[in-house]
Amino acid sequence: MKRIHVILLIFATMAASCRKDAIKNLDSKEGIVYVTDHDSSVNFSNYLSFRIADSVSVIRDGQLVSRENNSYENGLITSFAQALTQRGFHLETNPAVKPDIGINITKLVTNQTGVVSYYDYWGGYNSYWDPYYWGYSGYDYYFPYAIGTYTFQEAALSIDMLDLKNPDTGGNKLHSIWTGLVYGSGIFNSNNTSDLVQNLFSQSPYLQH
Amino acid sequence: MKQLRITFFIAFIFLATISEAQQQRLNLALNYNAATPVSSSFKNYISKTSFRGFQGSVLYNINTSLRVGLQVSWNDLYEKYGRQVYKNEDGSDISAVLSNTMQYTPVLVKAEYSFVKEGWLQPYVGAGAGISLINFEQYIGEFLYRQSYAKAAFSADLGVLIPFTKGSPYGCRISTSYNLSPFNKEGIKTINTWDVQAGVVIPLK
Repeated sequence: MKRIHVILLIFATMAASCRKDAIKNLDSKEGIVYVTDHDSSVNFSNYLSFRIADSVSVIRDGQLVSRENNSYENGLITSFAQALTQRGFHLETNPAVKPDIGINITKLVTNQTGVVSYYDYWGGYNSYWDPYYWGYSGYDYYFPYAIGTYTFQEAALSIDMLDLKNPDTGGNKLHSIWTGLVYGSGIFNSNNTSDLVQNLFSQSPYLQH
Repeated sequence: MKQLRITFFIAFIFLATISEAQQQRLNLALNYNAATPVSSSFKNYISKTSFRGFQGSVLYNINTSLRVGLQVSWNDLYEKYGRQVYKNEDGSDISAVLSNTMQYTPVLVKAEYSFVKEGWLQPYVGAGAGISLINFEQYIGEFLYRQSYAKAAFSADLGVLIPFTKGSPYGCRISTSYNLSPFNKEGIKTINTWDVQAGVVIPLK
């Protein structure tokens, strides 16, 4: 029987050591996942001007902890503005003029173990981004598509486009018309901001004025 | 793979030095195993041949032609698909690198029948039935989706035994087999592979 035990041990060792490690076989950018969704009733060619919030909100475990505007956040805002401009949209720089589209960028960070549902993030959106910033005090937000089934570990980046051209004055709501969600290792690396934005845009060909 | 060959060689030398019994009734076979997916639904998940597999069996000689026993195989199947955009059920677009993996472990009650009892080449046929333990793992980027299943498993094989010396209970064997497990999960109807094995036969007692 000893001989069988030795053989089984050798067999088990060989099996464990020969398994392909899928994570090790990914390069630094292949682990990142991009999710986009939009309001399919919206024709983006009807929108021209946009403005991006001047800082990025940091949400940690469901609480707004800061608004940041460092090299990473600046790089992200600049890359996103450039990408939209290349698609024919116009960056509205005059703060006195209300743009057609407002854009919020949010870093979602968690210290919790396991995975966190993106759905929870949308539930508290009003507390992270006061509609007052876009000139709509007392309004709420409305997301007409369901992206909330996605879960992430540790960190995610969310970019939301708000329809400021057609506010729901009856329901006091600002509709989101496009959302981009990025999660995976390296998404908060300053060197990756351009890649993140390019990937989101490449899978959103309808974002065109 | 070099490490694997060395481990196999050491294992064989260790066992070959142990004294033989006069009448060998129980034999162990240790094989290297390569597996190729066959069905279209399985190939849609993984189409690449796996060269990471092993097989071991312990068979009891009922007579000089027929032997029965237990066989365990293990295969690690893997394929990485470059970044693509997929349409999700909720209407969203998801861009990711998919890494599809599966560890397929059939545990079978096995019977083999040799057509030739002596000689340098002893062809045989075999059949087995049992259960397969299936570890289904799909990485969406670096994020893992994992499920484990136990399903029925069937196998048919054809091979040849080659004794190291005339009449020796030690020998090598080369075989090919077809393995099948009805699955109907994760978009895969049937897990079936065509396998090729090569290894050694060692008398136990």
